[in-house]
Amino acid sequence: MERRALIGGAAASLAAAATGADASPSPRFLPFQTPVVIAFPQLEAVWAPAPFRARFTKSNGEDSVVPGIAVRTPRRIEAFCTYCPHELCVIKLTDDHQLRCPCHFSLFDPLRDGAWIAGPAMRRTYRFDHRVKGPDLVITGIEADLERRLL
Amino acid sequence: MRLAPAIAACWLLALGAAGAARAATTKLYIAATGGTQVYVVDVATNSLVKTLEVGKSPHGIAATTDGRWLWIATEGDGKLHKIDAVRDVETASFDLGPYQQEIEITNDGRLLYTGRFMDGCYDVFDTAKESVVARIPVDGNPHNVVKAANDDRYMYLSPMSIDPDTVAKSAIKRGTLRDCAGKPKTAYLPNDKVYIADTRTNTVVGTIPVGGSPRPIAASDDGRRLYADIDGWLGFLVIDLQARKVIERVKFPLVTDDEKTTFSRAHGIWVTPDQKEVWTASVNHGVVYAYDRTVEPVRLVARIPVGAAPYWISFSPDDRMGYISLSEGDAIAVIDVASHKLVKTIPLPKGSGPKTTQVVVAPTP
Repeated sequence: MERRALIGGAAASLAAAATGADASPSPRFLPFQTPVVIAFPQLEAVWAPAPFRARFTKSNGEDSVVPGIAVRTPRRIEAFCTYCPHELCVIKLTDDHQLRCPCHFSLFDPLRDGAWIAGPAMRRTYRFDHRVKGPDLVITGIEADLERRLL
Repeated sequence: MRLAPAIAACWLLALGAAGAARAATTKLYIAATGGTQVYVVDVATNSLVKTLEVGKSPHGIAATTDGRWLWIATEGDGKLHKIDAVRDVETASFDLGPYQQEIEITNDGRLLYTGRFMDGCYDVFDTAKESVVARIPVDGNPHNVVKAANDDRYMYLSPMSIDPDTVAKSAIKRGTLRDCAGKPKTAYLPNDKVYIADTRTNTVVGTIPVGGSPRPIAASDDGRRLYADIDGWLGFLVIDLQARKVIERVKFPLVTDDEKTTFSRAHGIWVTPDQKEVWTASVNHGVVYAYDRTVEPVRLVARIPVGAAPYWISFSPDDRMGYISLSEGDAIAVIDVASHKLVKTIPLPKGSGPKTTQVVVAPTP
């Protein structure tokens, strides 16, 4: 079952289009210094997020850490950057299965690749470059557009 | 947003003279911006005692100096609510237009200043006439306003700047951007300054460049210093209000690898009632910083981890407790001011998103 799980983000753009999710073009990614590897057994329970943090090098040479969660939705396994695109507060997965920013309450849809629902963020969550490799979800990079917010 | 200390002192003296323990009640009001409520905490016990239903996304809170009336601006429905702070009931509400943010009131309780976020405009609401009597146009997005507690000649306005893309999208959503007079606005101008508005004329009499989008600000009671969080600066600015210029740019010391590599921003700033310290916070790092402001340059005296993202700060008038809203954690962190230690966390309902807080010494019925 795990090996056949669909994943979200850029690697699943076709699936996203098929399900009406945000199907915007694949962005450029900045690679993590070390890929994040999450074994599928960690994602066995639906809607039980596995938080992670990953480090990348900014263009000014400084390290930066980006937070995210991996989660199994009823549809597939997803990975979401948890920086809110509005002011980079850290968004949370709510009990009613939405991604919500605690600062200004922007909402994002985890069933549609983190598509923006409401609030001042006005765009989808930043994307991770991620894929299934064997029994693991491997997350290798972050949408480059995030970097301009961190410099 | 704060009780004038001279008046607070009179209240406390009156309490002592009368020997009446119930002559006044000190209450913490918490705007639950994620919901529709204002929560009321009894400062004596630091426990939740009442919930007021006010309207969608309460944001700004201001109290009259006698503690008799509380004003609350609700962002989601654009209303200003008048609350009887003795009985904790709403007595009137006024429709001022969408996106009301922080508010401040003159010491006589007459004029209330409120920013309309997307309209580049601070409204001046006359609480006796119960109408807007002046409008102050500014660049950027009106958000914060404070006064010096002992000198309300001036209001200090700090409109923030949002991403131009967001402005454009918002304009599309609302049909157009409006100016102070409600006319279509042809251009959006970002803001990087604090405005000084004269409360006698309700006009801008000066600006102070701060080098970025200003966020929460706090004035010393004597009106000599303003402290400002700004976007893009993990720390705060010290502003000389007489010279009307920034005299110090304070950076938070980043201690851990996490702090050095994880993005954060400064949000929430206030001066302790005894005027000795200024506190502000690093949101994503979950840390509140206390600085000694009796010396300049200011001196870091405490670094207080609070376990979740701190967002707004207020104090009890007796200087004993600091209250930090933890929007992320749906709670209020209670800090002992003397020891700078976290002594209690007041839990609030899930999703309430507490933000602005205000301590009020309200007369007892």
